[in-house]
This record gives sequence, structure tokens and C-alpha cells, in this order.
Amino acid sequence: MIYDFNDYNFHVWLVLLITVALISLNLIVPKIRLNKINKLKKIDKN
Amino acid sequence: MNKTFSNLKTFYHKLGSSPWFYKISGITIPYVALFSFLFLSIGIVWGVFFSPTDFKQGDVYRIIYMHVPAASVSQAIYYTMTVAAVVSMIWRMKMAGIFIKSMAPIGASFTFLALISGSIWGQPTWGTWWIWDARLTSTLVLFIFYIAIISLYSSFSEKKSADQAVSILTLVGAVNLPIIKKSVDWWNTLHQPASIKFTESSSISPEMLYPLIISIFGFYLVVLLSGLMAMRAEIAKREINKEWFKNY
Amino acid sequence: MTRLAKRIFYKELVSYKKRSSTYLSPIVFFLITIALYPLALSNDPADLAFLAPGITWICVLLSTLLSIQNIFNEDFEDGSLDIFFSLRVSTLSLVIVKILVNWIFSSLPIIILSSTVVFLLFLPSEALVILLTSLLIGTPVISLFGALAGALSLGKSSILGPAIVLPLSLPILILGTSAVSSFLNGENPSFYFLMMLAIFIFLLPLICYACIGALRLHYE
Repeated sequence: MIYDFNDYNFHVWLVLLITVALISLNLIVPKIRLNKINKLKKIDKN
Repeated sequence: MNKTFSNLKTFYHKLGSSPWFYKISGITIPYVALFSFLFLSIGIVWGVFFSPTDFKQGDVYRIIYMHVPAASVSQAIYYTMTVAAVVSMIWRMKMAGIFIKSMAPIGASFTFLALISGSIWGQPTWGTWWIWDARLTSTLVLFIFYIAIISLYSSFSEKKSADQAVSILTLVGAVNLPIIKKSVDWWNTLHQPASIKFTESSSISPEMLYPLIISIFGFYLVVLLSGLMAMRAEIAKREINKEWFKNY
Repeated sequence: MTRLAKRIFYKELVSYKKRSSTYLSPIVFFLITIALYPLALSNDPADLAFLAPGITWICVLLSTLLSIQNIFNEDFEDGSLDIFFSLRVSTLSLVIVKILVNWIFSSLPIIILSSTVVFLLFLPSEALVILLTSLLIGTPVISLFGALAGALSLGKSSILGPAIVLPLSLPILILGTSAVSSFLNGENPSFYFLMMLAIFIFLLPLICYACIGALRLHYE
């Protein structure tokens, strides 16, 4: 169990943070790109 | 036998059509998202919070649940890109180019994750952030390859020639990566620093192994998810003026 | 095909002779970078002799980078590449001859010049033959990668070239420097030469066809 925040756990937390950040970046960026294009499409239609 | 072959052939032709891919990926993305979230959270939470502490390394070994999947995924992405490069060069399939273009940044980010998690792991266990070990060096080279592919792609304004150029570079890289890996391995045996020895613990207990396998599976699923999303965005960007996209 | 190759060869020789900067700048660059290492590291002959194979190889690698933009760029800009690709002639011989001439003008002078490291970096003189042989076998592979990078980045920013060539040339760098240092340790370096030769033979057709494919992109 690693709830207590000692020196070694810091490394695990750091890696966990970077992992979550990178994965969500990989998911958010294409989402934003697609949304932008869909918005353009809507403007185009009207 | 003949039937399965023709089925495969139609599947291949469908894969090559961007409207079909756009539609199908839109349907599958929610399921893939659900499963990847499930596997990833179970694997990582189990690994990081509930698996037993390693008696040699202590808690810091838990980085393995992010590091090993990232390293495995980063190589697998390059293999799939190589297959796509062959397809793109021989049959000029448009989707193969879109695949390479979308996967390269994902591959780069996971290679970066593998590098940085390895170095954060190395700091407490070996006492340095970086050593010129064979595996680290070849992962670094892989990262440089991804960056070169991305920058080559962005240097072309014409999508079609960008796809072809990137396919050529991906293929040449794929042929060279084993050579680089072998030579780096072999260079490392010459210059092995005496103080640091890598002896992999050959036996890993099942309580540690199961979450690792789940986490690896989750990483592959999340790569699939982000790949599908990136490809959708790329298709939309390229075909914004096509009739099917306007009516979608 | 051979007549065509010969003609291209002579034409290339003449055009390189006219543009002396294309083969002089790598030479100047090589000499300057070689001179930088003793200034930056140490002027102790023992240290330099230990580092000499690596320093020489790195300098050769970096100075050949200077010339990769020249392989196809001139012909691309004046339109002769365009004519070549629209005619039904062997583009393979064009690519091979161009790589060969580029190697003669940008690598060969540097290889000859690198014998000065015996004085400049105190490389033991008996290791010089090994160093030169490793350079002679290794630099053609780097020229191949350089041609590919030049073909891919025709008319593009020049930073792309090094980003493609340098990671690809790692094996050659490792094998080339190991050949010299293993000789200095009293071992037989022929293994490294054979490995480099094998890499060259393996990559020659592959890279040539990749070059043709890359050049074709600009005429589609």
C-alpha cells in the first residue's frame, strides 16, 4: 500500500501523473480537432 | 476457404474507404473507450495500490505498471506503421497514409513516456537519471525516429506526397531499427559500466504479474482509442469539402 | 545504361568542379571541428589518443552532413531532374552516379585529410590504416543515407537532413570507432569491417530505390 507519502512513492506518483497527462492529451487533442471541423461544417451548412 | 478470402478482400477494400471508416469508428469508439478505461484503471489501480511491495526495490517498483506497457506499446506502434507504410507504397491506399500520420504522434508520446518513466525509475534504483544502456539508447533512437517522421510530414504541404515520403522514411527506419538495436546492444557489452548490472528478476509473482498484464492490455486499448480518434479527425480535416462528409 | 551513367558521371564531375564551395566547405568544417576538441577537452596527448577514433568519426559524420543538400538540389532547381523523370531512362543509374560523385567530392577528401589526426590528435600511427579503412567502408553508407535525406527534403528546411541521417548512421559510427579501438586493444578488427560491408551491400539497393521513390514525389 502506498498511501503514505514517502520519498520513493513520490516517483510513482510522478510517473502516474505523467501517464495520465499524456494519455488524456492523446485523447483530447483529436477530440478538439474534430469538434473544430464539425463546427466549421455547421457554419458551412447554414 | 475461398469465401473467407473474398470476405477479407472486401474488408480490405472497406478499410480503404474513408466514409466507411469514419462511420464504423464513430460506432466503435464508445465501446473501445469503455473497455480501455476499464482495463487501464483496473490494471493501474491494482498495480499501484494493491499489489505487494517488492522486497528488493520497495514501492518504487510500481512504476513497472506504467513503464513496461508504454515501452511495449511504443514498439508495437512502429510495427503497425511499417505495415501501413508497405500498404501505402504498394497500393497507394489513402487510409494507410492517414494511419501513419495519426499514429506517429501517439507513438512519440508513448516512447517519451517509456523514456521518462524509465529515468524516474532509474533515479532511486541505480542512483542516476540516465545511463547509456542498450535499451535506453535504442528507445531514444526510436523516439528520434518518431520525431523525424512527424517533422518530415509537416514539411510537405501536399498531403499525397507527404504520405508517400513518410512511408518511405518509415520503411527505411523499420529496416534499420533492428540493425541499430543489434549494434547498440553489442556496443553496450563492450562499454558496460561495472557498477550497474542489469539482472532481470526472472520470476515475478502472480500478484504482481496479473495487474501488469491487465495494464498492458489497457495501454493497447487506449492506443487503439486515441488512434481511432486521431484518424477520424484527420479524415474530417482532409475530406471537409467532400459531399459525403457534408451530409454525414 | 553504362553509356548514360558515364555521361552523367562526367557532367557531375564538371558541375562539382565549378562549384568549389560544395566540396571545400566540408573540408574546412572538418579541420575546424578537429581543432575544437583539443581546445575544449584537453591537450594531453594520452587523453587525445584515447579519444581520437571517436572524434575523427564524429567530425567526418558531421562534415558529410554539409553536403547532403547538394546531391539533388542543384538538378532539382534547374529542372534537369524533371527532364530525367519525364524521359524513360534509368533513374537508378542517375541516383547511383550522383551518390558516387557526391562521395568522391565530399567524403574522399575528408578521409584523406583525416590522416592528419596522427599529428593533431596523437593517434598511434599504426592505427591509422585501420581508421582509414573503417572510414572508407563506412562513409559510403552515410552517403546513402545522406542521399535519401536529401531526396526527401528537396527544397525543404535543411534541419530535416541531419534529423534523418544521424539516427540512421548510429550503427556505422559504433562499428567504425570500435574497429579502431579494438585494434588499439590488440584485437583483430576485421569483424567490424565485414559488418560494415554487409550493411552497405544490404542497404545499397534498398536506399537507391527509396531515393528514386522520394525524388518521384516531387514530380507527381
